Amino acid sequence: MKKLINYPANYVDESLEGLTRAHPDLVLDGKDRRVVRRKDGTRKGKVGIVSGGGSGHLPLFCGYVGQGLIDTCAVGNVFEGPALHACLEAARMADGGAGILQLIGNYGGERMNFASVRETLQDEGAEVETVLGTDDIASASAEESRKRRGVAGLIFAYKAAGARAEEGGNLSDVRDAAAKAVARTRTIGVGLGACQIPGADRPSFVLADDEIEMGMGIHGEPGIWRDKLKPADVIAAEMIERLLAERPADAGDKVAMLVNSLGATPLDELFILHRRAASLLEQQGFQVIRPLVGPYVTSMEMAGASITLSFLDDELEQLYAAPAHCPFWSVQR
Amino acid sequence: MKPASLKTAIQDVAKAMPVIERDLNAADAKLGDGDTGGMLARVVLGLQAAELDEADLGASLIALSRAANEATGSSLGNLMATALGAIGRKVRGQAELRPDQLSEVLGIARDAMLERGGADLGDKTVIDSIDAIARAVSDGNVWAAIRSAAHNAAADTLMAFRGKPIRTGRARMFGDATRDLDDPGMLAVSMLLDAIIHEESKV
Repeated sequence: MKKLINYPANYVDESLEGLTRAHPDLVLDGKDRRVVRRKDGTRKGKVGIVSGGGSGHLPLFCGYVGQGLIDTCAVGNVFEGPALHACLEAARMADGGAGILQLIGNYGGERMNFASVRETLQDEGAEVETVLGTDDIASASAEESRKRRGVAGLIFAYKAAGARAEEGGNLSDVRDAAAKAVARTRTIGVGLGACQIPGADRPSFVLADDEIEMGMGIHGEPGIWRDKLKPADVIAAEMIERLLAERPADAGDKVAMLVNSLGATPLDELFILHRRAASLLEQQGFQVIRPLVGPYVTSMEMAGASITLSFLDDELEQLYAAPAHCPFWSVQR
Repeated sequence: MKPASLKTAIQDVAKAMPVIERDLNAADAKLGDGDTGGMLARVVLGLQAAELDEADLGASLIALSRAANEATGSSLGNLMATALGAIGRKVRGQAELRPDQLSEVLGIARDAMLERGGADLGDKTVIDSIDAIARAVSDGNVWAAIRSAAHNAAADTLMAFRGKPIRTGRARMFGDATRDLDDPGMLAVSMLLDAIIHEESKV
């Protein structure tokens, strides 16, 4: 697989250097320069929000550092959780004196490292809460939803928690906002083609030229079925049907929708998916609020897309509408 | 076991690392990213660079735990660091570990890993290997016999879990396909002990 890189071992650090040069509101920090933080730091008295995750998914995770979103982010190697010291540094840098929310995807490395960080900071007297993103409906059954992994829907949790923190909510308020967004958000992906970790001698998985995989995760985790490519409208219909089958019991009639590229799939194709998905939702009586279409959570050059639905109530609708700004997502009133 | 023997074991492993890295990457590629070997190689490099306290085995193990945590944020790396740290805290201030204490400290490592990782015994993870080794060395009084018992226990556990699915972490998503595959963490324990036994046999 062709990649525009210099040396595989420098992939992450050179990418982070470029990201922060291009977006000076983001600053690289920490002993190994594996923390991205807001240039101005966390406002004193605001709940700090820290996240962290492996590289290869930009804009996730560190691209969402910004006003009304997350304050700091620890960065790991490609598809690998950040090292413990980077998580600790990021959490400390997020601290504005009003408590820290750790908002991370439900992945083993991140979960374990941030559990260590929480213990360390609590020993030092800080207030720390943790919320795990678990929106990927194909990654475990509904009965085992706590085992589900966090994918594109995590950005809605960032948005809800970030908005609540900016408006002055306390740590419990911010935690609850994040937890509500997670509880009401569902994602499903469809994989069309593989990606390859820099330096690896083969792609992370193999899909035949005419095959797709419904439910594939953002690291190529196996999905629900693998079959011949179908028309976009058929794929969109199945994704929406699967997401609606898992809607929360108290879902209203408003949804936020994200139609996301896994990396290689172009905007044209995303809009083709969005067109059908939005129309199906409207036919079923839903109003689609603030649609997002684009590469928001990727897997390097993986081809494919995901659809995320966040089932709104009045509180989430308000939180998603609050002003926010980072290099990859701006919300203005 | 003294800090110096830790150092020797790490050097033994480092010598075998190119082969271990290749084989573990290949095993992991069947379940996903194919990077477990590369990750472990980075951890071993970190362990080699760690400064050990010749007079304090506990402090040395804690230094190794820190080095493992610095080298990676992966779950396997974190579990290794958790195990090293848990044993280190238990034997802090001791210059050495007697053979008859090994089973107890491995049990402490196992319990700490279970708590940190959220897995259960039987899920087909590295923790099943540590549990089996803790039980296999419980009667040991001589290091040579203990090494051999640990080596056999790791290999036997790998065999015993063939046919069973991995029930936790990313690999669980591959379901029945994992029945015929070794868990990369279990395989790593077996290969690391292979390397140590192989080098020791040359002495």
